[in-house]
This record gives sequence, C-alpha cells and structure tokens, in this order.
Amino acid sequence: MRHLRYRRPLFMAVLTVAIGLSATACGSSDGSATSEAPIKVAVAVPYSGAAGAYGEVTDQAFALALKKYGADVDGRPIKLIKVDTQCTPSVAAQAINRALGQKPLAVYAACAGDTLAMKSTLAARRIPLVTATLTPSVMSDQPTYIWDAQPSLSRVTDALAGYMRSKKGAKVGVITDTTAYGAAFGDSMVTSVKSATMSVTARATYDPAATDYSGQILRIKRADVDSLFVEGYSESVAKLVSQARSLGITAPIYASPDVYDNTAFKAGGAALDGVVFASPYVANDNAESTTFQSSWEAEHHAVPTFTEDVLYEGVAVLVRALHSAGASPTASTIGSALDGLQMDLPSGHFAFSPGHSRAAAPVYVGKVENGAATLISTVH
Amino acid sequence: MTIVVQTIISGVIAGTVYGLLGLGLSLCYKTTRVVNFAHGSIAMLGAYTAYSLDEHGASILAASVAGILTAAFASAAMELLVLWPLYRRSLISAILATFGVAIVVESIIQMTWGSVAKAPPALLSTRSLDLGVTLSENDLGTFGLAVAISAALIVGLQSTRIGRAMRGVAQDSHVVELLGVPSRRLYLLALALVGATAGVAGLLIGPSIGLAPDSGLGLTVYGFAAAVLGGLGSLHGAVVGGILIGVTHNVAAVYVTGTYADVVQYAAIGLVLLVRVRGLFGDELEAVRGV
Repeated sequence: MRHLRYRRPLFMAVLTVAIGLSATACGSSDGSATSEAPIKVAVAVPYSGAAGAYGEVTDQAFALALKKYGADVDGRPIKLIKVDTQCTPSVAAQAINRALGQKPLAVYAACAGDTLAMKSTLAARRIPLVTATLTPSVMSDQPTYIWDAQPSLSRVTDALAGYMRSKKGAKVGVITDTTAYGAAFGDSMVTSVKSATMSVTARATYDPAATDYSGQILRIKRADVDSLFVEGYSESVAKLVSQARSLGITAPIYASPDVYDNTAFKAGGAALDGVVFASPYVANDNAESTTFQSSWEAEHHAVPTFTEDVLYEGVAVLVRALHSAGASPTASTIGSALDGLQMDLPSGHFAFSPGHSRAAAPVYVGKVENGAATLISTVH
Repeated sequence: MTIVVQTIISGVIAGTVYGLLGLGLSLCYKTTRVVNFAHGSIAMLGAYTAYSLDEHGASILAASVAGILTAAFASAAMELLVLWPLYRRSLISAILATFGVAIVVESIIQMTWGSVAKAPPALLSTRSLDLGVTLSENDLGTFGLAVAISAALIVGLQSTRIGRAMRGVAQDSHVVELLGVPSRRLYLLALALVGATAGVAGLLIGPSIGLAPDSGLGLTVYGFAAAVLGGLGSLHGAVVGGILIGVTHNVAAVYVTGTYADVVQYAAIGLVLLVRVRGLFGDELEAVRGV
C-alpha cells in the first residue's frame, strides 16, 4: 500500500509528460514544424562494404549542392540524417526504419537494391525518395513515391551498340560481373546488340572478388569476336581491359561508364587508351558541366567523373526540390516540386517524365585517352 | 593449341596467388590449430601500407618491406591480444574471434584510407615477355616468389629447431613446455610469419584487383579453398591446391561455361573432398574433422 501511495503521483507525472511529448510528435508528424525547425532528409547510402565509396561521394555531392543551391530554406536548415545501407537490401530495410524515427521529409538513396527494399515502407508513409540509378527494375512499375534522376540502362546500351555498329562490329563478346547490376547491364547490352543487328558470340561473368580474369578473356578470344564489351567496378574494368590487351585481344574494347573514373584511369594506365564507353555524363562545354567540373575540383582536388556526376545530379535534384516546395515544405509538397522541376544539370536540361524517370536525357559516347575522357558524340 | 597452353599457364599464375594465401592459412592451422579468417584482411592492410608509402615517395622496396612488416605486426598483435586468451577455451571461440579481427581491420582500413578503391602499381613490369605465350615479368615474379616462400617455410618447419618446436607446440603445447620450450613465444613467432606471408600475398594481389577495404574476406575464401583442397595444414598442399583451383577455373571458363565457372570450380573441390576428406596432401584426418 505504501509503495502504491508514493508511486501514484510519480506515475501521473510520467503519464503527463508522455502525453505531452506524444502530442508534440503528432503535431509535427508531416514534418512541417516551427519556423526554425530543420528540414530533415534521410540519406540512405552505403558508407561501408563493397560500394562504400558511394557514401563518401554522396557526402561530397551534398556539400557541393547545398553550397550551390543553399543550405537552408527560408531560415530552416536542411539537416541530413545519414544511415549506412552497405548497398545490401536487408540492411537498407532496417536502416530506413531507423531514419524514419527522426521523421525525414524525403529520402535519398544510391543503390538500386536499397531503393527497392525501402519502396513499400516509404510508399506506406507517402515519403518521396530520390535516387540516381540506371537499373531498369527500380522504375519498371512506375512507383508513386520514387523519382529516378538518371536515364534507363537501355538508353546507355543502345547508344553504345549503335556506336559499335557504326564501326562495323558484328560479333560481340560480353563480360560482366556477377552482381545484380552487372547481370542487368549484361542483359541490356545483349538486347541492344541484337537490336543493332549484331550478335553476341560469347558471354562470360566474373566474381568481383576475383584476382584474375584470364579464363573469361580467353573464352572471348576463342570466340574470335570483333568487339568486346566489359562491365564492372572501376578498378575491375581497368584490370580486365589491361589483361585483355596483354592476352592478345586486339578487337576494339567498349566498357560500362565505370571506366570513366579516376581509379580506373590510374589502375588501367595506357591500356585504357581507345576504350569507348556510353554514359549519362561526360565532361562537355555546357555551362553547368564547366561549373561543376571546376567547383568539384576546387572542393575535392580531383576531377569529377561518372560516379561523382551521377550522385551529384541526384542530390542536386533533391536539394532544388526542397527549395521549390514552399516555405514550409511537407513530403507532399516536395513530391509535387519534384514533378514540376525544370533545371540545368552538368549532363544537360533536366525534368521528370510523368512516370518519375528522367525525361529526354542525352546519352554521351566518350573515349578514354591519356587518363581522361573525351566526348565523341551525344545521342538525344 | 595456343589457347589451351595459355589457359593452363594463366591458371597456374592465378592459382599461385591463391596458393600463397592458402599457405599462410595452412601455416596458421599447422602451428595453432586456428583457421584464421582475418588472413585476407591483414593482407590488405599490408598492401594499403605499402601503397601509402609509395604515394609518399618511398622506394617500392622500402614500401614493400614496410607493408610486409605491418602485416606481420598486425598478425602478431592478433595472437597476443585476441587468440592467446582464447587458446584455453574451445577452438571455435578463437576461430570466430578471427572473424571479428577481420571486421576490425576492415574498419581501420576504411577510416584511414577511405572507401574509394586505390590502384597500387605492380611490383614488376606487366609488359608481356616474348615467350610464345603471354607471360609478364610480374607473372613470373609472382610464381617465383610463391614457390620460394613455400620452399623456405617447408624446409624451415621440417629442418630447423624452431620449426620442429612450432610443430610440437601445435601437437601438444603442455608436453613441449615441460621440455623447456617457450610455447608463448613460438605462437607469437608463428603468427608473425603467417602475417608476413599475408603481407607478401597482399603486395602481389593488390595491383591485380585494386585495394578496397572489404576485399579481405573474399581473399580469405580463395586462400581457404586452396588450403582445404591441398589438405589443411599441408604447406606444399596449399600451393598445389591453389594452382589446381586456378587451372580448373580457367579450363571451366574457357571450355565449359563462361557464366558458371566458379560453380564448376567449387563442385570439383567438393568432389575431391568427398573422395579424400583430408584433402590432397592432408595427413591429419582427425584435426580436419575437428574443424
């Protein structure tokens, strides 16, 4: 009895505080809050694991975009809630739940698998997610709450196959890694090659952890192809090309956009000279591209390439939408802002299609020469 | 015909690297009975150290020596701080602890060098020599170094007092201690040697695959496959096992399937182990079963 008498006032006090706190939380459940409250954005990207570099580059991209477009909206700072997804869907599903506890108004994701893993959770809460992926499966069912700032993979592979055909290619060899992205890239390349009236006469895959690619390369050599396409992480692509050259592959080599990367240039050296690739971005002379190149180099002391641009463009689109979503943005107004967004990016003019994919994006065909990429043509 | 020969030679060169990794794992098992899953991560740590020194202008020789010493030191530190307190408990605790060490080493690499992959230079020239098949100085150097290190370790463990004492400690440390042999120091020396072989492997592999913080566990898997095929605990078995894996993978990739060569390779290993559970050169059936 004595214990109860002392406990009741304490219990009432705790209950009062809890009700007060929950009322405050309910009041800001849509994220619109007091005039100085930060605008929260969840950044769900890999900071560790095989794709850990994406997290590092995403942070750099946010720093640059917030500097360019403004780090606050009408006095409200944009606050980033960073969670590590390891580019692993199961980890991403847990990570987004942690981030949602802080009530973000929007989410940024880098990996296709992560995006798919977070899709239903975010749709249930009607929170917009912006990503920048080439993987077709992300946008295949035209999701309501996902916006993809990059063109689909087929546009990239079609552009490359078209270039191959123009160079009298007929028998193509395809080597991709065993990741889901590698498989999707390989399938898309095979489809594009066939559409361009050529044939794939040899196909091989490799484990990204492998230390040697001679088996795959010799299979291609045995098939006597006249064009070779290789896909993989930047350093893998560079090593594949080097090893292909040293094993006597003399056919022209084409690569995924990952070859347009400073790590690849360093790893491949002169062996990469002449490798042709198609990419959503190659440094060009439009004003946004020039500004992006110089700003990134000034901030990070490295020339930005494919990865930096792709991640930066996704981030820039989200930051611009936050600024366009009104003085007190909500998840809903940010979604509307994304729908109506028109802006210039390093890769060209940007807008979303009604299906939330990038509308009418150009694709660039480039060539590696002396540790840099030069633009060959633009495919609209 | 040229492609057949090239397929086998390239497989031997690639397999030598797996064998070198397997050699360290087998040495660790032979002397401590611990399957060391931190081996690949320690190899990467050595390679990163050498890369950093090379970037700061050190000669390739000095950078390589520093990389090997770093790996040896890291491995010895693992023995001192993690494995030694666990030897008196079940062996599984020590084996699982090496997984933990691998994760810690990966995190240290990521915090120190970042997540963006690095591209270290090859130790020797990668230009092809005119030998009728494609073979570079770097390939020959890798092969020669792996064979030389294996030979030195095999002879060292068989013929020197320290080598015999190491093997004795692995068999029964209490009896060896009664004979006046300091088992504590021998374990430490063995793990330092294991780390040094990891460091050499890291230096040879780094230029082939680039350096990434999470590459270590993948390398451990390749090394473990070589060691198990050759017979866990057999040093020459690890090298032969690695070479067989390299050749099997290449033959499968070129002549059987371009997309499932890994499956064929591991199926072949499984088949060998079904017939000979101790591996090709393993002589300690009970120990293998214990793992």
